[in-house]
Formats: sequence, C-alpha cells, structure tokens
Amino acid sequence: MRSKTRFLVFVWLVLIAPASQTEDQALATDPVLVKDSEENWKLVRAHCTACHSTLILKNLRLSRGAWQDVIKRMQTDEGMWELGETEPKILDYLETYFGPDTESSSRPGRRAPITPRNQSPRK
Amino acid sequence: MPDEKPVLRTLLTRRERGIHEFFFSDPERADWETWHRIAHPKSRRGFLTGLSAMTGALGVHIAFSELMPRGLIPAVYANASEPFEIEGKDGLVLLNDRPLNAETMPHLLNDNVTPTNRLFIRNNGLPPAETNPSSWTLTIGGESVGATRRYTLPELKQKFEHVSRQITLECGGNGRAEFDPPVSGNQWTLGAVGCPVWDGMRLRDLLLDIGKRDNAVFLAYHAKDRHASGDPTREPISRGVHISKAMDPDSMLVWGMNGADMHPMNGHPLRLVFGGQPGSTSGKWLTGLALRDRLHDGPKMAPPAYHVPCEPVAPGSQVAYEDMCMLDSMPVKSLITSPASGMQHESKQRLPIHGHAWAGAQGVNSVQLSIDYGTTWLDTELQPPVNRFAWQHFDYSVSFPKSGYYEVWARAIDSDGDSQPMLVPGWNPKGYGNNACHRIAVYAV
Repeated sequence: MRSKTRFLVFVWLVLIAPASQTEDQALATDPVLVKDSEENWKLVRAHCTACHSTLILKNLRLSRGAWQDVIKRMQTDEGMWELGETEPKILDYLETYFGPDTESSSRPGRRAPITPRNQSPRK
Repeated sequence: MPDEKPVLRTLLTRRERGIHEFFFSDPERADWETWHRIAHPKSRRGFLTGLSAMTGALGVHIAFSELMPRGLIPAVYANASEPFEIEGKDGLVLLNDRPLNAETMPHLLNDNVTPTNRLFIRNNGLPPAETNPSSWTLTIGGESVGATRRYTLPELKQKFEHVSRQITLECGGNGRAEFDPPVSGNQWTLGAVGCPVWDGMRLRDLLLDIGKRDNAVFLAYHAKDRHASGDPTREPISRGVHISKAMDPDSMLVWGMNGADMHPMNGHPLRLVFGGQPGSTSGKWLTGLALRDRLHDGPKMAPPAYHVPCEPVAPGSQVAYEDMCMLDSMPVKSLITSPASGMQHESKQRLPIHGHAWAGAQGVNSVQLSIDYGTTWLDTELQPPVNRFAWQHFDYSVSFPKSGYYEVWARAIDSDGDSQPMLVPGWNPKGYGNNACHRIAVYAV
C-alpha cells in the first residue's frame, strides 16, 4: 500500500506536476488567453497559433457566427485544417472571451469616447 | 542592419509551435535556435553569443540584456499592445507579433516627412530570411510581356533614372477598430499611415523598357515574404494595380527611404509604392512583376480581402462574395498630430494645432477644425502638397472660451468636395475605409 502511494506521488511529481506547470507557465505568458473551466483555451492554443499568435484575438469582439466565418475563411484561403468535434468547443471559448462587447452595442450612432493618447478604445 | 536574419529564419521554421510554447518546452534550445544566444554558464544570465541576432532582424532592442535570464521570452513576445521597441522603430504600438503588425500613435506622426522609425508595419506573412541588396533580383514576366527579363537590384539602380517622391502610404484597414459590430483582422486605430520620402525609380520606365504589350490590363507583384503557416508553396499576398496606375509617372519601384535604406519591416531592399491606393497594392520585398492580360488572381485578390460591398449594407450584414467590389482609391482623411490627445492646456493661451491631410488620388482643398462637436468650423491654414500623393499640412491656433473638457475635431475636404464624416462610415465585413474625423481630447485649465 505504502509503495503504491509512493508510486503515485512519484508519478505526480515526475510526470503530472511538471506537465501542468508547463501549461500554467504557457498560459501565464500568453498575451491574451485566459483559463476556462473546460480547458478549451488549450484547444485554441493548439489550433489557432500555427499561423499567428493569439495577440490577433486581443481586441476582437465577434459573434459566434462571425467567428465561424473567420474559421471557414482561413480553411478556404489559408490552408487551415478541419476542426471536427473541437470546433464547437473552440467557438464556445471565442464566444465567451472574445464575443460581442455589450458596452459598444449600447451606444448606437455614437462613437466611443476618446481614450488618452488614442490607444485602442477596447482593452 | 545586417542582411542575414537568423532570428527570422528560425521563427519561420517554428510553424508547429508558437514561440511561447517553444521557449517553455526547451528554453536553452529555444534560445539557441531563435536568437543564436548562449547564456553565461555560471550566472545563466546575459549572453555569450547571439545578442546582435536578437536585436537585429525582427529586431527587438533588449535593454539590460546582461540581466536577462536565459530562455526568457523578451517581453515584447509575452506582453500585449504596450508601446514596445523594434530595432529601428520608435513608439509603435504592437497589434500582432506573428505576423508582425504595429501602428504609430498620431502624436508621433507630427513630422511633415515621416521618419523611417515612425512608419507603421503591416505584414500578411513572415518576412524573408535573407535580404541582401547586392544579390537581390527582380523578374518581370506575364502574358503581356514579350520575354521574361531579370534584373539585379544594382542593375536597376545603374540603368534607370532615380527619382524621390514623398508619397502617403496607408493600410486599407486603418481605422478598422471603430467598426461596430467589430470585424476580424488587425484592429488598426489611426496610425497605419505615414508619408516618408521614397527613393527609387519610376515603375513606368521599367515597363516601357521591357516592352509592355498593349493588351496588358493589370500589374501583379510577387514577393519574398513567406506564408504564415510556413508552407513554402503558398504566397501570403500577391496583389497589384490596374495598368493605368502602374504607368502613372508617380508610381514607384523603391529601394530606399528618406535618403537611406528602408527599414527591414518596410520592404528592404525593394518594394512598390502606389500613391492613393490601399497599402496592400504596394508590395514589399519585391522579387517579381507580372504584366497580366486579365485581372490578377493571386492571394488576397479575391473577396473578402480588400473588397467592400458593391451596394451599402446594414451593419453586421452577411455579404456574398459575388456582391463585393475591390477597394480602389483611398478616401479623404486627416490626422491631428500635435498636441497629443488628453493634454492639459492653459485656457488663456492659444493652442497651436498641427496635422496632415490626404485624399487618395485627389488633392485636399481645405481642413477645418471644430471645438464644439461640429456646431461651428474653423478654417485652418493648409499647405499645398510637395508633390502628387504627398500629404498636406494644416495649422491653426485654437482659443478656448472657458476652462473644461474639449474635443478638437478635424475634417478635410478634397478637390471633389468630399469631406470626412463625423461618425464611422459604411460598415463593411472587413472594416475598410473608415475615414471618420479624427478627434483629440484637450483639458483647458
């Protein structure tokens, strides 16, 4: 029994902990991705960063349908692969963290207030 | 700038992993492969080799490099759009690090001639690994050329008359960040524009020399940049202009900027520059030209890239590709470049305002300012352009009636009488052509 516990501790220390630490580090240094409970951020990282970094997502606020169009266009024009069953998960993530900005949609006809030094109005 | 770019070459081969992942899985190998750097073996900080590779190329200038632990991703790759340093550039805001895209804040565009270190960077793909001007070649072919010809860059410089022109270059997507609902692509705000002096030759002289046939309708470019996926069979972008624009005496083949080499990220050692057209027509790292007897069919020629709905659409509409038309001349536009937005000003004194205005293929007739949200407009002093397609400069000294928060708005009016809208104009699926008036905030105290 004791040896089995030791073995499990060994497995955790040597195999699992370093792996999750690497993932945490990867997330910590990623310029825009945030952790979600479904861990879909890993899918986004795996599928979306072959051609471009995640920075391109930073100021984007698109609806699920618009995200689907973006993926379709990259598949048609840029050689992106089929996402299969991961596509809805990736769309879930994009819709949640890079979905429409309710603030901007609530000011019809008005441009956003000026931000100092004219940096991007969206954070 | 060194001509060899080991940094870039290695980044290009990293297609299977992002740079972040690479550094975390094997920091020492990442250091070596990406930057050709080896840390001091004892301190594991600083570098015995590789710093010049690291600071050249994509060229991040590393301050306090001696203190940087090995395997550390330079902050520019780890962080987002704070002002950051690219070797040879100053004060650009990073929009995307791969492919590299960065714009200039308006108050840093105050010079009448844009300095090389302040010109925006726009990439569809990854820059070439090797850009040696003495071995650089340009091949000219296509259906409307008798026989394919090849020149080296030194031959071009020797054979043809040199010209220098100040020509405004603006990304077609400049202003995209303001569209609502938002659209995909780099979220340019205001600073994907500049007007340096371009040094080179007339494209027309070359096309006449190689024997352009009368059936030519389009001039296409091919370039040495690489597709973002790393796939060597794909071109990231291959566009061009209609033959009438190619034969315009002010359309240029460019090998220098402001009397020196171009910045590596602006197309050194050879590019095209077409005044008044979307920037994507002015190919960088130019290696080939094709005189086509039909509309060119390269990447980013077909919708939705650089296309807008042929008929106006409601914001957020789905637009079929067959209902989209290619962007042509850029719209009338202006920027207030001094002062910076958000400044405090002594309200009893006049505030000098300076800026630039440009209008695609047209000239700018006047620029007006408003400090009361467009209720009244003030005519500025406007200079004529130094040559066709150069931006023009306006000046005015504003006085504020009382202390408080003000917005200074600028609108330019072109030689057709077209002026800039106050609100964001015609929403379109890819966010082109936002020429809404520039506004800055001033606190009069």
